[in-house]
Amino acid sequence: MLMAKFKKQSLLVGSRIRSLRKDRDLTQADLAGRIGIQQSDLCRMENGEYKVSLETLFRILSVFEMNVAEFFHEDAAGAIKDRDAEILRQFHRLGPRSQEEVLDFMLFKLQIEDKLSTGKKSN
Amino acid sequence: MTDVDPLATYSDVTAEGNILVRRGDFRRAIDNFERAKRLAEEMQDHPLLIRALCNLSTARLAAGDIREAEKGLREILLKTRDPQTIFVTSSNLASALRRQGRLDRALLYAKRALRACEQIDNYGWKATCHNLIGNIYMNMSYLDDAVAEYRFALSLSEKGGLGTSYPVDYIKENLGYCLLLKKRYRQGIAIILEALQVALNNGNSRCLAECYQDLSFAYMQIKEYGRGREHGEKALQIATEQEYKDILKNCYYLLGEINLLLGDEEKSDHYFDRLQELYPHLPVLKSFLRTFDVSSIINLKNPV
Repeated sequence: MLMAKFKKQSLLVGSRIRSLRKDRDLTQADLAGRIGIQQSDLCRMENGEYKVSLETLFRILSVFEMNVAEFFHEDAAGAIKDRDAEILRQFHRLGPRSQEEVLDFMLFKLQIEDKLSTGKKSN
Repeated sequence: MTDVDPLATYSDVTAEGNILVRRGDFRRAIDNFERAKRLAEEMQDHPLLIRALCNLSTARLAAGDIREAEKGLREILLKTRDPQTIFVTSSNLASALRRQGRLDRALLYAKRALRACEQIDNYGWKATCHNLIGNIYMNMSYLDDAVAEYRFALSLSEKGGLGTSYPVDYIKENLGYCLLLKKRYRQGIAIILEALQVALNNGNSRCLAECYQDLSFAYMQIKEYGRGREHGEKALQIATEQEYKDILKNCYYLLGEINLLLGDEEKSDHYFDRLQELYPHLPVLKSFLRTFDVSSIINLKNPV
Protein backbone atom coordinates (compact mmCIF):
# COMPACT_ATOMS: atom_id res chain seq x y z
CA MET A 1 0.00 0.00 0.00
CA LEU A 2 2.82 2.34 0.93
CA MET A 3 4.62 1.57 -2.31
CA ALA A 4 1.49 2.27 -4.31
CA LYS A 5 1.26 5.71 -2.72
CA PHE A 6 4.86 6.55 -3.51
CA LYS A 7 4.39 5.43 -7.07
CA LYS A 8 1.27 7.53 -7.33
CA GLN A 9 3.22 10.56 -6.16
CA SER A 10 5.99 9.99 -8.72
CA LEU A 11 3.37 9.65 -11.40
CA LEU A 12 1.75 12.86 -10.22
CA VAL A 13 4.97 14.83 -10.57
CA GLY A 14 5.74 13.25 -13.94
CA SER A 15 2.31 13.84 -15.37
CA ARG A 16 2.36 17.42 -14.08
CA ILE A 17 5.65 18.03 -15.85
CA ARG A 18 4.15 16.63 -19.05
CA SER A 19 1.10 18.88 -18.89
CA LEU A 20 3.19 21.96 -18.04
CA ARG A 21 5.47 21.18 -20.97
CA LYS A 22 2.52 20.85 -23.33
CA ASP A 23 0.95 24.07 -21.99
CA ARG A 24 4.12 25.87 -22.98
CA ASP A 25 4.33 24.20 -26.40
CA LEU A 26 7.63 22.56 -25.56
CA THR A 27 8.63 19.24 -27.12
CA GLN A 28 10.31 16.61 -24.98
CA ALA A 29 13.56 17.38 -26.80
CA ASP A 30 13.22 21.13 -26.01
CA LEU A 31 12.63 20.60 -22.31
CA ALA A 32 15.22 17.83 -21.98
CA GLY A 33 17.80 20.16 -23.55
CA ARG A 34 16.90 22.99 -21.17
CA ILE A 35 17.13 20.91 -18.03
CA GLY A 36 20.19 19.01 -19.22
CA ILE A 37 18.91 15.45 -19.40
CA GLN A 38 18.29 13.08 -22.26
CA GLN A 39 14.95 12.99 -24.05
CA SER A 40 14.46 9.31 -23.25
CA ASP A 41 15.00 10.06 -19.54
CA LEU A 42 12.50 12.92 -19.64
CA CYS A 43 10.01 10.53 -21.20
CA ARG A 44 10.57 8.07 -18.33
CA MET A 45 10.39 10.92 -15.81
CA GLU A 46 6.98 11.90 -17.17
CA ASN A 47 5.91 8.27 -16.74
CA GLY A 48 7.17 8.23 -13.13
CA GLU A 49 9.95 5.73 -13.84
CA TYR A 50 12.99 8.00 -13.58
CA LYS A 51 14.32 9.58 -10.39
CA VAL A 52 15.91 13.00 -10.68
CA SER A 53 18.60 14.84 -8.75
CA LEU A 54 17.68 17.84 -6.61
CA GLU A 55 19.52 19.94 -9.22
CA THR A 56 17.28 18.70 -12.01
CA LEU A 57 14.14 19.15 -9.94
CA PHE A 58 15.13 22.76 -9.20
CA ARG A 59 16.00 23.32 -12.86
CA ILE A 60 12.52 22.16 -13.87
CA LEU A 61 10.98 24.65 -11.43
CA SER A 62 13.24 27.32 -12.87
CA VAL A 63 12.35 26.54 -16.51
CA PHE A 64 8.63 26.74 -15.78
CA GLU A 65 9.11 29.92 -13.70
CA MET A 66 6.21 28.99 -11.47
CA ASN A 67 5.07 29.15 -7.92
CA VAL A 68 4.51 26.18 -5.67
CA ALA A 69 0.77 26.04 -6.14
CA GLU A 70 0.98 26.05 -9.91
CA PHE A 71 3.30 23.08 -10.00
CA PHE A 72 0.71 20.66 -8.71
CA HIS A 73 -2.50 22.28 -9.85
CA GLU A 74 -4.10 22.54 -13.23
CA ASP A 75 -5.01 26.20 -12.80
CA ALA A 76 -4.17 29.05 -10.50
CA ALA A 77 -7.74 29.14 -9.20
CA GLY A 78 -7.16 25.74 -7.63
CA ALA A 79 -3.99 26.88 -5.89
CA ILE A 80 -3.07 25.04 -2.72
CA LYS A 81 -3.99 26.96 0.38
CA ASP A 82 -1.79 27.05 3.46
CA ARG A 83 -4.31 24.93 5.34
CA ASP A 84 -4.31 22.27 2.59
CA ALA A 85 -0.55 22.19 2.59
CA GLU A 86 -0.51 21.82 6.38
CA ILE A 87 -3.00 18.92 6.21
CA LEU A 88 -0.86 17.23 3.56
CA ARG A 89 2.31 17.78 5.58
CA GLN A 90 0.82 16.36 8.77
CA PHE A 91 -0.67 13.45 6.82
CA HIS A 92 2.80 12.50 5.57
CA ARG A 93 4.10 12.48 9.14
CA LEU A 94 1.73 9.62 9.97
CA GLY A 95 2.68 5.96 9.63
CA PRO A 96 1.12 3.94 6.77
CA ARG A 97 -1.52 2.41 9.05
CA SER A 98 -2.54 5.74 10.52
CA GLN A 99 -2.75 7.20 7.01
CA GLU A 100 -5.17 4.40 6.10
CA GLU A 101 -7.25 5.18 9.18
CA VAL A 102 -7.39 8.87 8.29
CA LEU A 103 -8.50 8.01 4.75
CA ASP A 104 -11.16 5.63 6.09
CA PHE A 105 -12.38 8.33 8.46
CA MET A 106 -12.57 10.86 5.64
CA LEU A 107 -14.59 8.42 3.53
CA PHE A 108 -16.86 7.77 6.50
CA LYS A 109 -17.42 11.53 6.98
CA LEU A 110 -18.12 11.96 3.27
CA GLN A 111 -20.70 9.17 3.36
CA ILE A 112 -22.44 10.84 6.32
CA GLU A 113 -22.42 14.21 4.54
CA ASP A 114 -23.82 12.53 1.42
CA LYS A 115 -26.59 10.92 3.44
CA LEU A 116 -27.40 14.21 5.14
CA SER A 117 -27.57 16.12 1.86
CA THR A 118 -29.73 13.34 0.29
CA GLY A 119 -32.05 13.50 3.34
CA LYS A 120 -32.33 17.31 3.02
CA LYS A 121 -33.19 17.02 -0.70
CA SER A 122 -35.90 14.39 -0.11
CA ASN A 123 -37.40 16.56 2.66
CA MET B 1 72.37 19.84 1.10
CA THR B 2 71.73 16.42 -0.39
CA ASP B 3 70.44 15.77 -3.90
CA VAL B 4 66.97 14.31 -3.91
CA ASP B 5 66.27 11.58 -6.45
CA PRO B 6 63.31 12.91 -8.51
CA LEU B 7 62.18 9.39 -9.41
CA ALA B 8 62.00 8.39 -5.75
CA THR B 9 60.15 11.61 -4.93
CA TYR B 10 57.76 10.94 -7.81
CA SER B 11 57.02 7.47 -6.42
CA ASP B 12 56.55 8.79 -2.89
CA VAL B 13 54.19 11.63 -3.78
CA THR B 14 52.22 9.33 -6.10
CA ALA B 15 51.83 6.63 -3.45
CA GLU B 16 50.78 9.22 -0.89
CA GLY B 17 48.36 10.77 -3.42
CA ASN B 18 46.70 7.40 -3.97
CA ILE B 19 46.24 6.95 -0.22
CA LEU B 20 44.76 10.45 0.03
CA VAL B 21 42.25 9.65 -2.74
CA ARG B 22 41.19 6.50 -0.93
CA ARG B 23 40.74 8.48 2.26
CA GLY B 24 38.63 11.11 0.50
CA ASP B 25 41.18 13.91 0.95
CA PHE B 26 40.96 14.98 -2.68
CA ARG B 27 42.44 18.49 -2.48
CA ARG B 28 45.68 17.25 -0.96
CA ALA B 29 45.75 14.39 -3.45
CA ILE B 30 45.53 16.91 -6.30
CA ASP B 31 48.54 18.78 -4.87
CA ASN B 32 50.50 15.54 -4.76
CA PHE B 33 49.69 14.56 -8.34
CA GLU B 34 50.43 18.11 -9.59
CA ARG B 35 53.85 17.72 -8.01
CA ALA B 36 54.30 14.29 -9.60
CA LYS B 37 53.37 15.80 -12.97
CA ARG B 38 55.99 18.54 -12.61
CA LEU B 39 58.63 15.97 -11.64
CA ALA B 40 57.78 13.80 -14.66
CA GLU B 41 58.06 16.86 -16.92
CA GLU B 42 61.45 17.74 -15.43
CA MET B 43 62.64 14.16 -15.95
CA GLN B 44 61.11 14.22 -19.46
CA ASP B 45 59.68 10.79 -18.73
CA HIS B 46 56.60 10.39 -20.93
CA PRO B 47 55.11 7.22 -19.34
CA LEU B 48 55.43 8.76 -15.87
CA LEU B 49 53.85 11.97 -17.14
CA ILE B 50 50.88 10.02 -18.53
CA ARG B 51 50.51 8.19 -15.20
CA ALA B 52 50.62 11.49 -13.30
CA LEU B 53 48.01 13.03 -15.62
CA CYS B 54 45.73 10.01 -15.14
CA ASN B 55 46.10 10.17 -11.36
CA LEU B 56 45.48 13.91 -11.40
CA SER B 57 42.33 13.35 -13.42
CA THR B 58 41.09 10.74 -10.94
CA ALA B 59 41.62 13.08 -7.98
CA ARG B 60 39.99 16.05 -9.77
CA LEU B 61 36.98 13.92 -10.66
CA ALA B 62 36.58 12.88 -7.07
CA ALA B 63 36.87 16.52 -5.98
CA GLY B 64 34.15 17.51 -8.44
CA ASP B 65 36.38 19.46 -10.86
CA ILE B 66 34.81 17.63 -13.78
CA ARG B 67 35.90 19.82 -16.73
CA GLU B 68 39.47 19.99 -15.50
CA ALA B 69 39.51 16.23 -14.93
CA GLU B 70 38.38 15.54 -18.49
CA LYS B 71 41.08 17.65 -20.15
CA GLY B 72 43.58 15.68 -22.18
CA LEU B 73 42.11 12.25 -21.47
CA ARG B 74 40.80 11.68 -25.00
CA GLU B 75 44.20 12.54 -26.50
CA ILE B 76 45.92 10.08 -24.16
CA LEU B 77 43.36 7.39 -24.97
CA LEU B 78 43.80 7.88 -28.72
CA LYS B 79 47.58 7.49 -28.54
CA THR B 80 47.97 4.63 -26.08
CA ARG B 81 47.90 0.86 -26.46
CA ASP B 82 48.71 0.16 -22.83
CA PRO B 83 45.69 -1.61 -21.23
CA GLN B 84 46.33 0.04 -17.86
CA THR B 85 46.25 3.52 -19.39
CA ILE B 86 43.22 2.61 -21.51
CA PHE B 87 41.48 1.43 -18.34
CA VAL B 88 42.21 4.59 -16.33
CA THR B 89 41.46 7.09 -19.11
CA SER B 90 38.28 5.29 -20.21
CA SER B 91 36.92 4.92 -16.70
CA ASN B 92 37.75 8.54 -15.87
CA LEU B 93 36.04 9.72 -19.06
CA ALA B 94 33.05 7.57 -18.14
CA SER B 95 32.95 9.14 -14.66
CA ALA B 96 33.29 12.66 -16.09
CA LEU B 97 30.47 12.08 -18.58
CA ARG B 98 28.31 10.50 -15.88
CA ARG B 99 28.73 13.60 -13.73
CA GLN B 100 27.56 15.71 -16.68
CA GLY B 101 24.47 13.55 -17.17
CA ARG B 102 25.70 12.17 -20.49
CA LEU B 103 24.91 8.65 -19.39
CA ASP B 104 24.83 6.80 -22.73
CA ARG B 105 28.31 8.08 -23.62
CA ALA B 106 29.47 7.30 -20.09
CA LEU B 107 28.32 3.71 -20.47
CA LEU B 108 30.28 3.32 -23.71
CA TYR B 109 33.52 4.44 -22.04
CA ALA B 110 32.84 2.32 -18.95
CA LYS B 111 32.46 -0.74 -21.15
CA ARG B 112 35.66 0.17 -22.95
CA ALA B 113 37.40 0.31 -19.58
CA LEU B 114 35.96 -3.09 -18.77
CA ARG B 115 37.35 -4.54 -22.01
CA ALA B 116 40.78 -3.15 -21.11
CA CYS B 117 40.42 -4.76 -17.69
CA GLU B 118 40.04 -8.18 -19.27
CA GLN B 119 43.73 -7.96 -20.24
CA ILE B 120 44.83 -7.01 -16.73
CA ASP B 121 44.77 -9.46 -13.87
CA ASN B 122 43.46 -7.01 -11.28
CA TYR B 123 40.24 -7.86 -9.46
CA GLY B 124 40.17 -4.46 -7.78
CA TRP B 125 40.04 -2.67 -11.12
CA LYS B 126 37.44 -5.06 -12.51
CA ALA B 127 35.32 -4.51 -9.44
CA THR B 128 35.77 -0.72 -9.83
CA CYS B 129 34.58 -1.00 -13.42
CA HIS B 130 31.43 -2.92 -12.54
CA ASN B 131 30.78 -0.47 -9.70
CA LEU B 132 31.03 2.38 -12.22
CA ILE B 133 28.63 0.63 -14.61
CA GLY B 134 26.31 0.08 -11.65
CA ASN B 135 26.46 3.81 -10.87
CA ILE B 136 25.54 4.68 -14.44
CA TYR B 137 22.58 2.28 -14.38
CA MET B 138 21.51 3.71 -11.03
CA ASN B 139 21.63 7.24 -12.48
CA MET B 140 19.52 5.97 -15.37
CA SER B 141 17.08 4.53 -12.79
CA TYR B 142 17.65 1.00 -14.10
CA LEU B 143 17.84 -0.22 -10.54
CA ASP B 144 17.74 -3.99 -11.10
CA ASP B 145 20.64 -3.75 -13.55
CA ALA B 146 22.55 -1.57 -11.11
CA VAL B 147 22.05 -4.03 -8.25
CA ALA B 148 23.30 -6.88 -10.47
CA GLU B 149 26.46 -4.88 -11.31
CA TYR B 150 27.17 -4.05 -7.66
CA ARG B 151 26.68 -7.65 -6.61
CA PHE B 152 29.00 -8.83 -9.37
CA ALA B 153 31.57 -6.22 -8.30
CA LEU B 154 31.37 -7.55 -4.74
CA SER B 155 31.81 -11.15 -5.94
CA LEU B 156 34.91 -10.07 -7.91
CA SER B 157 36.28 -8.32 -4.81
CA GLU B 158 35.76 -11.51 -2.84
CA LYS B 159 37.37 -13.62 -5.56
CA GLY B 160 40.36 -11.27 -5.61
CA GLY B 161 40.70 -11.44 -1.84
CA LEU B 162 40.19 -7.70 -1.44
CA GLY B 163 38.56 -8.22 1.95
CA THR B 164 37.36 -4.85 3.16
CA SER B 165 39.85 -2.71 1.30
CA TYR B 166 38.99 0.01 -1.25
CA PRO B 167 36.71 -0.03 -3.32
CA VAL B 168 34.61 -2.52 -1.32
CA ASP B 169 33.34 0.28 0.96
CA TYR B 170 32.00 2.26 -2.04
CA ILE B 171 30.47 -0.79 -3.72
CA LYS B 172 28.57 -1.78 -0.59
CA GLU B 173 27.45 1.78 -0.03
CA ASN B 174 26.14 2.07 -3.59
CA LEU B 175 24.39 -1.30 -3.39
CA GLY B 176 22.75 -0.26 -0.12
CA TYR B 177 21.51 3.03 -1.56
CA CYS B 178 20.20 1.31 -4.67
CA LEU B 179 18.16 -1.00 -2.46
CA LEU B 180 16.77 2.07 -0.69
CA LEU B 181 15.63 3.40 -4.06
CA LYS B 182 13.93 0.06 -4.61
CA LYS B 183 12.20 0.66 -1.25
CA ARG B 184 13.93 -2.31 0.36
CA TYR B 185 14.80 -0.09 3.29
CA ARG B 186 15.83 -2.56 5.99
CA GLN B 187 18.06 -4.52 3.62
CA GLY B 188 19.58 -1.31 2.28
CA ILE B 189 20.26 0.04 5.77
CA ALA B 190 21.97 -3.22 6.80
CA ILE B 191 24.34 -3.06 3.82
CA ILE B 192 25.08 0.66 4.28
CA LEU B 193 25.90 -0.01 7.93
CA GLU B 194 28.42 -2.62 6.75
CA ALA B 195 29.86 -0.07 4.33
CA LEU B 196 30.03 2.48 7.13
CA GLN B 197 32.12 0.15 9.25
CA VAL B 198 34.47 -0.56 6.33
CA ALA B 199 34.77 3.15 5.49
CA LEU B 200 35.56 3.93 9.14
CA ASN B 201 38.28 1.28 9.20
CA ASN B 202 39.70 2.52 5.89
CA GLY B 203 39.56 6.17 7.01
CA ASN B 204 37.56 6.94 3.83
CA SER B 205 35.85 10.23 4.72
CA ARG B 206 34.03 10.57 1.37
CA CYS B 207 32.44 7.14 1.66
CA LEU B 208 31.69 7.81 5.31
CA ALA B 209 29.83 11.02 4.44
CA GLU B 210 27.84 9.18 1.75
CA CYS B 211 26.94 6.43 4.24
CA TYR B 212 25.67 8.94 6.80
CA GLN B 213 23.77 10.87 4.12
CA ASP B 214 22.07 7.74 2.79
CA LEU B 215 21.27 6.45 6.27
CA SER B 216 19.68 9.82 7.00
CA PHE B 217 17.54 9.40 3.88
CA ALA B 218 16.69 5.79 4.78
CA TYR B 219 15.60 6.59 8.33
CA MET B 220 13.53 9.49 7.04
CA GLN B 221 11.72 7.12 4.68
CA ILE B 222 10.90 4.66 7.44
CA LYS B 223 9.85 7.55 9.69
CA GLU B 224 12.63 7.15 12.26
CA TYR B 225 13.24 10.87 12.12
CA GLY B 226 15.51 11.16 15.18
CA ARG B 227 17.99 8.73 13.67
CA GLY B 228 17.63 10.41 10.30
CA ARG B 229 18.57 13.77 11.82
CA GLU B 230 21.51 12.29 13.72
CA HIS B 231 23.02 10.74 10.59
CA GLY B 232 22.26 13.79 8.49
CA GLU B 233 24.15 16.01 10.93
CA LYS B 234 27.16 13.69 10.82
CA ALA B 235 27.16 13.74 7.02
CA LEU B 236 26.87 17.53 7.04
CA GLN B 237 29.83 17.89 9.38
CA ILE B 238 32.11 15.78 7.16
CA ALA B 239 30.84 17.41 3.97
CA THR B 240 31.57 20.86 5.41
CA GLU B 241 35.07 19.92 6.57
CA GLN B 242 36.00 18.19 3.30
CA GLU B 243 34.10 20.53 0.95
CA TYR B 244 31.91 17.79 -0.58
CA LYS B 245 29.51 20.23 -2.23
CA ASP B 246 27.05 17.63 -3.54
CA ILE B 247 26.65 16.03 -0.12
CA LEU B 248 26.34 19.47 1.48
CA LYS B 249 23.31 20.31 -0.68
CA ASN B 250 21.72 16.92 -0.07
CA CYS B 251 22.21 17.35 3.69
CA TYR B 252 20.57 20.78 3.70
CA TYR B 253 17.59 19.21 1.95
CA LEU B 254 17.48 16.12 4.20
CA LEU B 255 17.87 18.05 7.44
CA GLY B 256 15.32 20.66 6.33
CA GLU B 257 12.83 17.91 5.53
CA ILE B 258 13.49 15.77 8.61
CA ASN B 259 13.29 18.70 11.02
CA LEU B 260 10.04 19.75 9.39
CA LEU B 261 8.67 16.23 9.89
CA LEU B 262 9.85 16.38 13.50
CA GLY B 263 7.93 19.61 13.92
CA ASP B 264 11.06 21.70 14.49
CA GLU B 265 10.25 24.47 12.03
CA GLU B 266 13.06 26.74 13.18
CA LYS B 267 15.72 24.19 12.41
CA SER B 268 13.97 23.19 9.22
CA ASP B 269 13.95 26.81 8.08
CA HIS B 270 17.64 27.09 8.88
CA TYR B 271 18.57 24.23 6.55
CA PHE B 272 16.14 25.11 3.78
CA ASP B 273 17.45 28.70 3.96
CA ARG B 274 20.99 27.42 3.48
CA LEU B 275 19.83 25.48 0.43
CA GLN B 276 17.88 28.48 -0.84
CA GLU B 277 21.04 30.61 -0.62
CA LEU B 278 22.64 28.31 -3.18
CA TYR B 279 19.75 28.94 -5.60
CA PRO B 280 19.05 32.68 -5.34
CA HIS B 281 17.44 32.68 -8.81
CA LEU B 282 14.77 30.27 -7.56
CA PRO B 283 12.90 32.04 -4.75
CA VAL B 284 10.17 29.40 -4.80
CA LEU B 285 12.52 26.63 -3.71
CA LYS B 286 12.06 26.85 0.03
CA SER B 287 8.28 27.02 -0.04
CA PHE B 288 8.22 24.22 -2.60
CA LEU B 289 10.22 21.92 -0.34
CA ARG B 290 8.19 22.92 2.71
CA THR B 291 5.01 22.02 0.90
CA PHE B 292 5.82 18.89 -1.06
CA ASP B 293 7.47 15.63 -0.16
CA VAL B 294 9.83 14.96 -3.07
CA SER B 295 11.71 12.13 -1.37
CA SER B 296 10.26 9.44 -3.60
CA ILE B 297 11.15 11.15 -6.87
CA ILE B 298 14.76 12.08 -6.21
CA ASN B 299 18.04 10.22 -6.43
CA LEU B 300 20.64 11.82 -4.14
CA LYS B 301 23.43 10.28 -6.21
CA ASN B 302 22.30 11.69 -9.55
CA PRO B 303 24.96 14.30 -10.32
CA VAL B 304 22.76 16.48 -12.55
